[in-house]
Amino acid sequence: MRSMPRVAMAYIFAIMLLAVGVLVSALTHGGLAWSTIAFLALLYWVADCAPVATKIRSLTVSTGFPVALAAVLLLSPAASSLVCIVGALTGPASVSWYKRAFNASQMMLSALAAGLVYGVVPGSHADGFSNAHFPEVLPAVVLAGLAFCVVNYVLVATAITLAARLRFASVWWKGVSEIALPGLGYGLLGLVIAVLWTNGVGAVAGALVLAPMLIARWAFQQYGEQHKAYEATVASLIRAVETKDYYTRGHSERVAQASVLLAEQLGMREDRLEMLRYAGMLHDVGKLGVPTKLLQKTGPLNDAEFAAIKMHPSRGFDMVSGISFLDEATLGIKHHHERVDGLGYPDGLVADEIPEFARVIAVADAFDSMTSTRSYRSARSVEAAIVELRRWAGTQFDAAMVEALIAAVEVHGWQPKVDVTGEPVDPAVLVFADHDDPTGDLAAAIGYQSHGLRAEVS
Amino acid sequence: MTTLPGVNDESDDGALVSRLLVAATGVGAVVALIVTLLHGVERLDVAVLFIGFGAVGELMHVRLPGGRPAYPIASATAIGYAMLFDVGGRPLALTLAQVIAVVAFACGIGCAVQLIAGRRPHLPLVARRIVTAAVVAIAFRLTAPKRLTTLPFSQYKQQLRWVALLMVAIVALACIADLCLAALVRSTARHSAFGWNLRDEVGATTGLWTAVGATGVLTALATPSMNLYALPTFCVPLLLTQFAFRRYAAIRTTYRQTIRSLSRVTEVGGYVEEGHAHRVGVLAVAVGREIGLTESAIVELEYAALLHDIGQLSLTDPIPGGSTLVVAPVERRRVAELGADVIKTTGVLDRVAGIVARQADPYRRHREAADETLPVESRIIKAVSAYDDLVGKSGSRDASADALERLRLGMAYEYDPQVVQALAQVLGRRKERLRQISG
Repeated sequence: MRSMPRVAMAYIFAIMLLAVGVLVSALTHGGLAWSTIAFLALLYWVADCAPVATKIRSLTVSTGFPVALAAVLLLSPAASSLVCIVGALTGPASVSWYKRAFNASQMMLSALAAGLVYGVVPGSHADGFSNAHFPEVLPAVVLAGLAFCVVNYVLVATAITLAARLRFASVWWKGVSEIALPGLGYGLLGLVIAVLWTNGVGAVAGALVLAPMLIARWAFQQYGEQHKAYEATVASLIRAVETKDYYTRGHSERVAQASVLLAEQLGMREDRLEMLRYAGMLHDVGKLGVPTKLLQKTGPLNDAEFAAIKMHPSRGFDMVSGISFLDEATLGIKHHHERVDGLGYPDGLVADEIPEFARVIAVADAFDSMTSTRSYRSARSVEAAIVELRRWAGTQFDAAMVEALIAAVEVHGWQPKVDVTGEPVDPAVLVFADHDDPTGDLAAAIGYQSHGLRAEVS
Repeated sequence: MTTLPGVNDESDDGALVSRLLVAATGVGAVVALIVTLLHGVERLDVAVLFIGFGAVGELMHVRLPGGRPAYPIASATAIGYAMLFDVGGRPLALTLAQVIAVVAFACGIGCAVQLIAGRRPHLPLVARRIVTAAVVAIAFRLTAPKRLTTLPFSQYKQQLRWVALLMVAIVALACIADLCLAALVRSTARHSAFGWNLRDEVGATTGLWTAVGATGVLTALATPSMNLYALPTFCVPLLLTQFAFRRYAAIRTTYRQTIRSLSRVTEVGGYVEEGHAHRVGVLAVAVGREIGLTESAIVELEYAALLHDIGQLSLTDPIPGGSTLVVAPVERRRVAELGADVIKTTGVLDRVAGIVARQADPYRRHREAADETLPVESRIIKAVSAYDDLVGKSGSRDASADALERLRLGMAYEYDPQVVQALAQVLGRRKERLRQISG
């Protein structure tokens, strides 16, 4: 907690204080339907036991929302906020006390707000939900649900923004699609709990309503686990491919990282960013197709040997084209050695003909290559690499991509792989290891070579 | 590259039991439709709404992890309609014939739209849904008190919790019946034991079944007070559940495609003959199924088979020609161990690593009993990989027969006789299918 900014701490305590005020007023007013409160609190506890992680770090979705909404419909605003106190007891043991207290507090305030909205919208019944009529009651229910979501989300997003010093807008928009919309959908279950509870179905209703939700939660958790497993597996297999090539170890992962930084700067959508990351990881996977014989050759390469090296993006493309999730990202792998002046390979595409992913990966690839140590030279500094990238912008690289990467590196910094120690180097691999370095002889030679081929064709 | 068949892509539609099921359900549905039309439709507006939701649900399919298709909204709507007893406070007594007719009609519309859109409807699944609705409807009519469908809802409120429990019990029964039916169709289509098919079915579909069943029960319970608004209210959360399952299934598919793709690094690198990993993967899965492994074991077997040569990447020099059959057993075991090490670094494929690690071990050593700890998956990969090394890309009939003969010679020691037997059966069936296609 000490690491948290003062503003965030002040904010969190203010919310807690408000919640305590609500609690005191609820308890002093009396006339509480304790059996309903107990039932809903139990239900809330079950639903909220394991919150679902989201893509935003430090933000989880609680599945207690429908139960809280049912409380709003069945109880008075202050009484409904009592149910949400249970929220402080749920979640993993690692969550600190002040986070628990804050979560319970913000849920209490959200419930209070929703209850007040529900009371003022025509169609709602102040004397309890049992006299509610369909469809007249629906607008009040939907608006109460909305109010709950909005208040809840604003309170939480503000806390995260303050605590993690993020931009409010970015947290807000990422969350709305992932949390608010599904949340509203599941909120309908709160309506069902309220209906069935007033109809006398009792505890069975709770089990029935929670079933679809808990199963959805289970599926989301499975998804999360599989997703992690997937990442780990791809990373391992890529590392296995890289083992032979000492100087390019970790290259794929760093290219993926740099590509994502660059693309974030361009404002690329979340789902495309993910594809790009995998494309970056896999961009050199076809490299294994270059015969070892050729890699071990130390002298100058002839035309046929250049042609063999130029095969690797297409080979990689052939391999990954079976992964349908990668979609357009496979083209990023195929064309990551194209140049905007048309001198690249394999197809000699020009400027905008080169897929966006490929233009991103090309810059990230060269950048990591230049800032890494090679056997015959030490790593360039980030500044030197930037100068070099600018020099090649407009001929080898898309200038917009170069500037985006530079901007991203300025914001986030870059940790290049510098120190290479231990393990003797097999000089055999060096010719190939350097095919990404725009300043290297090989890259220049290949550029020239492909120019020659183009001239022949035309 | 030809596409690898998925573990569950194999169609069960052609099986006799499955065809009988579809035919019998079709006849039953037509009879129910005629009876309903002759007697007149009770509460046409309710029927139309449920048909609408059923038909739309028929178009919203989701593939469960493992590949089974499911139609949650259509199923929940059918179950809800089968137990409807009151709509908006007015009691309602639907005949069994009308329940079957309405559910079947909804399925019919959904299937017709699918056909127009150029998709083939999944008829055995449609038939199972109609049978489930019929089972639920019959059980409900046999057990529910008569007053439920005659007295106004307001006079019945006190007993509603017992009705709810009854409905849960009925749906549980219908779920068991449906899973048994599904297992029966599968076991006859794939010549495999009913028991493990049922276990697989339970593992794969119970989760979604619970959500669907609960939604059906809720629909029937809430329509008295919520009127027909109950139906859309319940479909939204179920749709979200379906979405969660879709994401889960999608990542599993991606995972599988990626392993299939990356398993090719060994051939691209020239370590093994082209297509070796792919062919071993296909054949190992077929043999695994022949032996009767569970679906989850088959997935691991497939991964292990695809990645069984990955250890070659760690060798400084690839083994010439790639065939690991001609090299010394010590060398083969080293490749196996190196491969297992690579797979272990993923942190999530430990069982696959275990299978790969022991792929070179002989079935049993001289004068010793068979090694109990040797996983059957390792034995399968050993035999199948050896077979592919011998036959190679050509796959000619003579080469195939020769290779099988060599495996048989090595049976009692090197290869597991049960695995070789299963391999022979798989290859025999494949030859027969080839003959059918060519002749």
